[in-house]
Amino acid sequence: MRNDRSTDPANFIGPDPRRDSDAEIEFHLEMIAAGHRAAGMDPGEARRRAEAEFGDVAGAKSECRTILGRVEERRDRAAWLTAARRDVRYALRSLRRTPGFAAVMVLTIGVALGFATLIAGSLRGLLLRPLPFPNADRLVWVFASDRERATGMDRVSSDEVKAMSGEGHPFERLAVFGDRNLVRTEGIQVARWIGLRVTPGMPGVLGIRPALGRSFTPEEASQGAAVMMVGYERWQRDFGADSSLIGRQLSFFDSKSFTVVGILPPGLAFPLGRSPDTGGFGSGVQAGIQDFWIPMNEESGGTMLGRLRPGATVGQARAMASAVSGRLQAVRIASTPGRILTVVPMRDQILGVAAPALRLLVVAAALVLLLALANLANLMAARASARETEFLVRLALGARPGSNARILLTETGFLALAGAVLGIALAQLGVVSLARFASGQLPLGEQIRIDGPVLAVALVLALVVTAVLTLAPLAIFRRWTPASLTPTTGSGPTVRQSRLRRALVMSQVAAALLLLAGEAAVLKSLARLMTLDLGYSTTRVVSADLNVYRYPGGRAIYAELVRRVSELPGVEAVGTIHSIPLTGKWTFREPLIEAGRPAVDSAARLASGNFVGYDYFGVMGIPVLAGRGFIRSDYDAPVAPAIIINQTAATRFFPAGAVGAVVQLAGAARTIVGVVKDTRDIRIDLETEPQWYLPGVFEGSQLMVRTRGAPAGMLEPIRRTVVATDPSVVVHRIEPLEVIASATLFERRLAVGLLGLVGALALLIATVGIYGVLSYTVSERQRELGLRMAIGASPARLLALVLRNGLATAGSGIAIGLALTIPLRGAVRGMLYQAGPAEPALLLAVAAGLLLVAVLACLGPAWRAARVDPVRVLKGE
Amino acid sequence: MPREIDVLQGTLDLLILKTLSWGWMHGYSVLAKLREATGQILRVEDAAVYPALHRLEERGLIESEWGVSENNRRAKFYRLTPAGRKTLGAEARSWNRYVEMVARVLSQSPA
Repeated sequence: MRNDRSTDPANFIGPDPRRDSDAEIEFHLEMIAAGHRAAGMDPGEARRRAEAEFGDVAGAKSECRTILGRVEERRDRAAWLTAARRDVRYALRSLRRTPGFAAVMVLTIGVALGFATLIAGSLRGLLLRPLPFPNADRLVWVFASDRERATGMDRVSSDEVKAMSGEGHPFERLAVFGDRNLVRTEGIQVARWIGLRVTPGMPGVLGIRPALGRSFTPEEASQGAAVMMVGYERWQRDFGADSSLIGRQLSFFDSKSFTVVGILPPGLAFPLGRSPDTGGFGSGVQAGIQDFWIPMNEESGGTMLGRLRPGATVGQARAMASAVSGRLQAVRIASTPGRILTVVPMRDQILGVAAPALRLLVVAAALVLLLALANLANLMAARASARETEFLVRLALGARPGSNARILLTETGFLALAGAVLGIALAQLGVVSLARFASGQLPLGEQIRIDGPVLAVALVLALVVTAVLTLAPLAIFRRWTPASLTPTTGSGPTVRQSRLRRALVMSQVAAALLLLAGEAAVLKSLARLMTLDLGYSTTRVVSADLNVYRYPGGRAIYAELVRRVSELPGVEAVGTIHSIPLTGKWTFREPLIEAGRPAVDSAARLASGNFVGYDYFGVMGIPVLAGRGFIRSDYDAPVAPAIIINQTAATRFFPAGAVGAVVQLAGAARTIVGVVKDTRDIRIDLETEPQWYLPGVFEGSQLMVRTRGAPAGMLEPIRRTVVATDPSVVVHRIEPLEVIASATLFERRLAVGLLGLVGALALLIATVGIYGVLSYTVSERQRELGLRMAIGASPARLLALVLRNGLATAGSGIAIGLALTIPLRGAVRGMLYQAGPAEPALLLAVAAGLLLVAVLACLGPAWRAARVDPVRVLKGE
Repeated sequence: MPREIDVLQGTLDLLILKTLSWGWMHGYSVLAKLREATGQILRVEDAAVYPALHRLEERGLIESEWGVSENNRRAKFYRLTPAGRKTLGAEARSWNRYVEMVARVLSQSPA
């Protein structure tokens, strides 16, 4: 029977099988012609007759050739598949023989690729996806900020609005807005509508158009007309998308009513991220979909948003803003020293602190990938070196020169593929944990995901890894011919190569040390912050953010609220405060000036203030250090006669004794009746400022409740009690103060998490690096080691030799890293809190840990060195 | 001599398969055997046989091998594969049924 062509050597040099059919047809023609010749025809004539009888000779030949070509092609493909299958089997078998190597490779590739993929996904989500507004790169905020305070993003005042609007050179348009809540009462249903008061320029600045109807006219804004644009989602949900809503009047609580003139476009979630009006990071207040817009004029000031002219730069806008602040400063009374206007691009502001961290992460990802690649190449080279004989034998046995490369490519292809799969899984895990970690904290955080383009990046990286890993050992193989299969195989690397590898590992160790030291420092300051004495206790305190929309009757409602909540089982004390601590809304600022003294140094005597009621100090556990707390009569007076200040204010402004002093504050003379302990109300990591407290309960006061047990179980009972007290009370949020406090540390936690991740990766890479280089060295120095053993070195000595070798590299890396901590300290300083200058104990701990890991990484190769069989090695086997 | 009939489209394959079921045969003798069996009435063009043979081989119904012909020339011989044998059986049965049906219709007289 016929043989399989792919294995029959004769076929490799035989005629083109496609010509088979020609010969066959020739035979046929010859048979016919022979018949004619036998009948006496002359040969030429016989041939012509044969062709005529046969029919279309050329056509038949070409048709046959086509069919045979097709068959041949299919056969080639099958042969290729067989060869590929053979390569795959070979690669898998050789990988299975060294499971440790395969695991380290896959793990390293997976971790490096996963990290890079996660970063690519984050970048795409946060930086590359456009904001939901046309030409959003031209949108900028104009904030007022106070050089003396860290908060720095305040509303602009009316004179600032006017000054900015007056000379709109870099700005195409400016708008001002403020937040506004309305309560819609329809029957017994009470719904809170969240919306904005906007100047008429707002739609133009954002570049949006009403979905239906129109937006506000300048006249409506200046006259304060009662008109409204209703949010698209609200319109869909509550009014069934009925277009007759335009022109209708909607009534709200407190006999407010508005005529609907337009419907906002769908999905208008604005402002995005933090702004003075939506609360800072950590306040938990996230801007959602807008329910309505109503017009406002610029007189009242607010948050300013501008659209730059095409071609205008943020720098020009900043220059103008600073010129305006300078001019205003000159004419203003010195009540707000250091107040300046700042211009912040919308994208930067939305990303906030995340942006520099992301940039840092890109560098980290590139570094991790690069260091990992170097490692992998080292490992591959080490393995190739160990397999020298195997490959040389293959060559000697007549394997085609390319086949070694093909096997290597298959092997690394497998490793890279497995690594890529692992990496994508890790990246997905990272996205999920990032989303959980950053839930509600990182604006646009939900936009981070691993989608098509990000996967494409991961796959391209996997291809790059495959290419590099295949080329590294090939560079070694190039030196070989079958003739090099002699007992002297393995001349070893050049001195330069091994020095380069060593330097690489050193830098890996140094990088790991730096990152881990940074992580340790950041972690320590986070721990310091979390255990910091805030001046009040955050455990067992529940804050209820609510609004009472019935003032002046509200005071009675608050009294009833406090009474009912106090009677709940499990509640120890109840108080009220205007701004819940740590929500970034500690907004009142007035100077503490003794009555009868000139207000010359008012700027220096500025203090933040808050209005408290009932047992606020008791709830928070804030001790009264001197004098007394507020009493009933303090509240009942029409103008509060009593004021309480904190310790800082007392020692700074009233060194002679504060209690009994009379201050002129907010238009009235008030006597200081008590001094309370310092508290950190604005941010945990901000030093305490002078503060004052006035007694007062009014619309917008929040409930603070001290519970006997864990606060989590009390949230629902408190909510139910509050809601049952009066239907006009709207509860926005009830949460333990601990949650709020922990949210304020979000940025630091993010830094700890990210630095920790990168540090761990660097450690892993450095460990693998040490291991890889030592393995390589040991397998290359087999002859030398064998020789040493043959002339009397003990296995323990060889083990020590290799160990010393590895630890010398790791030790130099650690030393370099330690030296670099000094100039590089500045990089993490911003994330540190009250960290000592060098923290030598911390550094030593990190260095010792690294050294330990290095010893572990050295043990494997050292052990192998100690077990070298001198006889085998010297025989050259 | 009776009038020649052209081989119907598709039946050439069946005829070749049947012919090859008798054993190894090269293209020329396949044609000769066919002509012999039909008493020269069916007209089969020589040029059509070879593409048909290659197509059948492509489908795995016949296999080929180079050998030496009766007059000592290199020739390519074909024979049925097991798959070809199976196909021949099925095709032959369906052909017979077809012919039977056509014959039955043609033999009916008006009722």
